[in-house]
Amino acid sequence: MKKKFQSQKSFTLIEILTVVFLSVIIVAAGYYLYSMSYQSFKKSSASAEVTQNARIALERMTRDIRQAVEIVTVLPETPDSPVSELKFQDGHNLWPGGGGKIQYITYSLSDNNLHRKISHYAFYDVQDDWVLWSTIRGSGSHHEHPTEFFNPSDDVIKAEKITALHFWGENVININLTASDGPNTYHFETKVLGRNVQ
Amino acid sequence: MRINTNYKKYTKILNRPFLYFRKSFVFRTQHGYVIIVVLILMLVLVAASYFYAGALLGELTIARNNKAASVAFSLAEAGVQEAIYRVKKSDSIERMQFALQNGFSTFTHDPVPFLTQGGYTVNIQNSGPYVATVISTGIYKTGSRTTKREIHVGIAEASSSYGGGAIFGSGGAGESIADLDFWAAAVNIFKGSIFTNRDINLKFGANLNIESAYTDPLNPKIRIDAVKYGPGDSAKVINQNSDLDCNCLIEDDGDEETLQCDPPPGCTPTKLVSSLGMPQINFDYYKTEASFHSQYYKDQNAFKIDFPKNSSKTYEGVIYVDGSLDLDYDRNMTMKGVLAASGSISITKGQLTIDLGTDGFAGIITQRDFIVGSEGNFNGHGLVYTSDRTEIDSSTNYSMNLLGGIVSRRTWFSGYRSVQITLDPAIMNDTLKDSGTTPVIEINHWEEEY
Repeated sequence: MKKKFQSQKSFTLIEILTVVFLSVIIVAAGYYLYSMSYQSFKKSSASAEVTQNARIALERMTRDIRQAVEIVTVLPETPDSPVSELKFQDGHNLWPGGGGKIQYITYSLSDNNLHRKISHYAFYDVQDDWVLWSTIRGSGSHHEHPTEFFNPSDDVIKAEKITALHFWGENVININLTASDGPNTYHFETKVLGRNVQ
Repeated sequence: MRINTNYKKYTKILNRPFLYFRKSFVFRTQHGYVIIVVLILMLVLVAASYFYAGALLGELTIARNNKAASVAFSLAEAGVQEAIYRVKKSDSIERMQFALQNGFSTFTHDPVPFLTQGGYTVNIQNSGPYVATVISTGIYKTGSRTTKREIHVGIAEASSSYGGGAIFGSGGAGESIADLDFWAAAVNIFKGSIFTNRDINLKFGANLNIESAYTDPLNPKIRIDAVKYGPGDSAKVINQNSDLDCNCLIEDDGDEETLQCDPPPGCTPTKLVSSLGMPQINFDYYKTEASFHSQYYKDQNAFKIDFPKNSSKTYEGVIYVDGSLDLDYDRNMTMKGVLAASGSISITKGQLTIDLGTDGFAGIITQRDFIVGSEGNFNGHGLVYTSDRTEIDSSTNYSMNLLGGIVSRRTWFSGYRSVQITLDPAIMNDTLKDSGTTPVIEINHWEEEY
């Protein structure tokens, strides 16, 4: 029996310790590499998502403003005191005689979400007739202004993780937007000329 | 020795062809740390590459889509510009079609030179003589994907002589069906008529009084296809040339081609007359005049340098501004002559008074729009000529008094404002200077909604 055991191959303690030590190092290195890769992937994904959100927000606003008929919000000339909400008349129904509905689009920020709200103005007794926000009916002390109506389902979040939004400029509208996710913060700025704005 | 014996034994066994599968049994006895470690590392690398590739491909797709959308949009814009070029070209088919009531022409560039992946198709559809909608579709191909962007642009050109009317509406391009809109407004027209090729639209208790519908019974100067209005609106035509002072109440009887007049009896319904084109005006003359008198400005900022906020100024002769001009911040301007702009003129918050200058003409002339905002005040003696639209917004503070008239494709009194217009055909004809070629203008821009 003794001879039999002696003849079998085995590892010395040093060999086992060396192998275990090396294995641990290799596995640890592998895990570290994987972990770093995964972290990097997560970071770049988050970054891509944030920039994509900002890109969508800018594209969306640019396209709407390009077609706007009237900018309702009074915008400052310079970026010193910009506004963070923009309301304008949607340009897809350009003229009242076209049978279209005069409606307004408002872009604003709430809880780091970019909201796009569609509303319209009408007098209470003729709510099917949508009018300009500035319409006045009657004269003297009997005049009245229309009321703004909107359906809650027409207030839609168009982009997330938008932490700041600024508008300014009289003819060409400047949009400055900040998108953030954790430590990742990106600033975007663009200029839009309303093709139908007077 | 024993080992050698075993080795021989195994070698012998292994050499049997039908037992090759047992090799694995042999290798089981060996230590496979290296291959395991290599497999683990490869797995990690493959996983990392997979994640990266996914992220990269996603970004690449987004970038490609953005580029394709941008290029397709630019191609559509290029189509519109080519359409305008063709419409201006004197011997082109597009020019010939543009002059017709229902003219239509189309052309395609697919691909466009120097860009094998992209092209555009353009349709030019008239809604009247010299008024059309250009529908341009830009196409950009990336692999098996095709990206399209569509743009609609209204274009128009003035083509006629002045045909009369204190308010003249020749009709806009596109979907508009009404050219004179009166919403809640109180408009009185004296010594003249209104003329429109299309509908008049009254809403919200609008009150329209027209004195002297026409001056020559054989050549009536009022043409209305239909009048649409709701409860509480009224429209009167007072014809001073007939024997009776005739109060005609215009009603919408459902027939868009018939104008009816109701009691009092004796009132003769106005007959339909032919449509008229937009009167021409000589923009170049005013541009030259402004340059000659050093009153030509490259943009409104250049003009406003010497016209600060909250100030009043009087100008004489001709002022021509490239682009649009907005009177805002309580600027109070008196123009003795003509104020012209290649874009629009608007009064957001301020006052504008026009008056006859020493040259014998006076007015507001724009290649786009003239907008009097809710806080804008406009009065005077002269012509209001806009290649596209005139919009007079609500105001309880200001009324509007104009001696002259409005020539515009579309005029919209968008809410309550007391307006008095007294026709002065002399100042209108003198200011129109019917000799120039009015440029083709872009009326409005439309692109698809999301």
